[in-house]
Amino acid sequence: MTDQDLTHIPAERTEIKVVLERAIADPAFGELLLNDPDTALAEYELTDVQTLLLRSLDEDDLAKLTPQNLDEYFEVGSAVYTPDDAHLVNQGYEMYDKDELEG
Amino acid sequence: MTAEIIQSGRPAPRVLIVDAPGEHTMFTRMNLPPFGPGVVAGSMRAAGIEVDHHDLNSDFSRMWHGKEFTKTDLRPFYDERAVISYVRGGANEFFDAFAARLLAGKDIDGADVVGVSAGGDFSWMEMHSAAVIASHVKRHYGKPIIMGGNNLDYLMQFKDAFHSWWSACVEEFDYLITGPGEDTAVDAVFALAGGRPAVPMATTWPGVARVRGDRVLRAPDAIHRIIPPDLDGLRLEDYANFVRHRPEASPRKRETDEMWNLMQLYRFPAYLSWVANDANAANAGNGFEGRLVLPYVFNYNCPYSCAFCTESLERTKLVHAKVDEVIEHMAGMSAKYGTPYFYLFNNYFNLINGFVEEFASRVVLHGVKFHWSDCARFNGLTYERLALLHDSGCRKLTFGLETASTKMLRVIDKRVKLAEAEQVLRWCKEIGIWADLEIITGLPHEDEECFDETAGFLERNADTINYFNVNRYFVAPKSLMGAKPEAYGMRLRKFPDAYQRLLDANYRWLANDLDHSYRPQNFRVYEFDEIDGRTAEELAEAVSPKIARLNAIQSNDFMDAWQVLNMRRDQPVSAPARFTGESLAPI
Repeated sequence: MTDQDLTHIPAERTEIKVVLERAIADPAFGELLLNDPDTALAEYELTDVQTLLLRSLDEDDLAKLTPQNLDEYFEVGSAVYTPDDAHLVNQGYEMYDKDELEG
Repeated sequence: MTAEIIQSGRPAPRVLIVDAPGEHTMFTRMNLPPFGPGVVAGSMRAAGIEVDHHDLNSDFSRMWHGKEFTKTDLRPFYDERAVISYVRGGANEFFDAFAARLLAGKDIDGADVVGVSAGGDFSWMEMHSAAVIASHVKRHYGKPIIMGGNNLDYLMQFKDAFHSWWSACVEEFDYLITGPGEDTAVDAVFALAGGRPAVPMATTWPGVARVRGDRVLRAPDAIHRIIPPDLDGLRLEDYANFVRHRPEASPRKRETDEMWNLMQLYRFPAYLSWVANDANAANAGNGFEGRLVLPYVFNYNCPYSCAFCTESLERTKLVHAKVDEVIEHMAGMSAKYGTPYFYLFNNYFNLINGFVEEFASRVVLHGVKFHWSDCARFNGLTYERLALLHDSGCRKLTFGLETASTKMLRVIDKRVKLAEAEQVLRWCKEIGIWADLEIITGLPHEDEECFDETAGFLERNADTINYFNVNRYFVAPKSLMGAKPEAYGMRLRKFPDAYQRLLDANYRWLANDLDHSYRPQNFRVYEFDEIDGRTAEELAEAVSPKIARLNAIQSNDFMDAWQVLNMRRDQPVSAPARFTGESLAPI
């Protein structure tokens, strides 16, 4: 992977989003996710963290989800640290120019 | 000491301890009571001193959330000249008003001595607000001042750069304690309160800083004692970690809640744990309740000499509590504060042979239940020992691997065998202990081959590593590498105005309203060129893609968690930088 690649890490389509999209589109599945998450999630390949995240959702969480805001929540997640903002992460004081130092 | 006071008929000295505020509470909820000041408060109370302890972060947080100030209003705290001038007696209405507001309601008049903790978060707000608060108390109340806190160790390490802070504070206040305060602070209180002859600053009292001519000097630190923090008097509700609690729910849901709580408190990196706490706090009482996580330390100092570490230059005596003391302290704190959760901040848990076995057996014998995390070394951790640790409540261990380059491991004298490290990581996964790593990149002469070895190790073991903190190397003067830079292929660059440059960077971060994870790297006081290698500028440029590559290896689970947590609190927010950066302490 090159540096250039790193600046454009694509937003991965996480399984969590897949499950949530289905819960929005299919109310019966949403109900199943709340009441019997083990059964609802059985067909998905999820990590233990993903499973716990989905098991932790309640009615209020699902009720406020729409396809639009789901995209919004999961889009910002793609903003992982890249070299574009490296200067912010690494910021300390600004260094002198080499010429200035030698002078 | 108590008997001595009673026999003398003198009233017990009264001390007001205030912990200076930092920026942290402007970004997230407080979630951990102050350890060092708590230990000093406990030591003082045990010595018969009346202690009134206030964490001004509580007040600062209320002021912030009450919109009493904006971030840019804090500009004077990032102005070297303004702070030093105020400490020297100059007028400054802003500092006076801000300090008075923070100290409102505290019984300063009733105190014989005021102790100010400058904190331990390497925050300039902490270090400067401590100086301002101390100066305010001195000029308006005339009270003797003792100042301490782990940040003084940071300031002392770079004492040349921060000379103006030291000379002003040493000359204006009574005692500045750079090391353990358990005994030195007690002695200072008795001296200042009139119980003993005053010890002048010019003596070599353990851990007390002084100025001779234009030089700042530090007497050897006192020896730590193992004391549990005494949190009496603090607003403990302010440190609540809001976790799931639904006693009426089904057993399956309660089991899920318990798993969630452990994930939130131990598995998540700090930035996620904070977000979870914020999200849950909004639903307090609705299936969530606040629980304390207690800080505790039972060993200090390290037998190893990792060349980058501040403990590599001077050999310091190991201090380790006996296992029965440790159990007594932890069980006592757990019962007193009603929580099984601990964050241990030991040098590393398995420092002494046999301790793991003894600790685990005592936990079983005493029937106590803890959950805890700590640092550890790979050396000597067998499957059986890890299983014992898990049984005794260990949920996460953080290992200081630093690098997986065999060349760099030799250079820093880490004494870690990579095969052993990989085996321990596998066992941790199998047993159910989350294993975090500390990684350093940007070491001098870390070439592409070295870096590839580290990245390859992280990729190869991604399934067994929970999370790794990425730290950019900085020169610690009190380390072997800092003391003998040429031996490690470095030529140091020191800048005459590094102090104000750092302050400016910190203010820019604040004023630009950046995420907490973008806080400037305050340890990068010195830069270095590689001898026969790259310049500091080239090194700075080279390190950024390295950090990006390492972060790309990090588990996507935490990004999922970030998204779901922000969904739950209805706040789409860009992800943090995921860069730790500040690890001067041994890791």
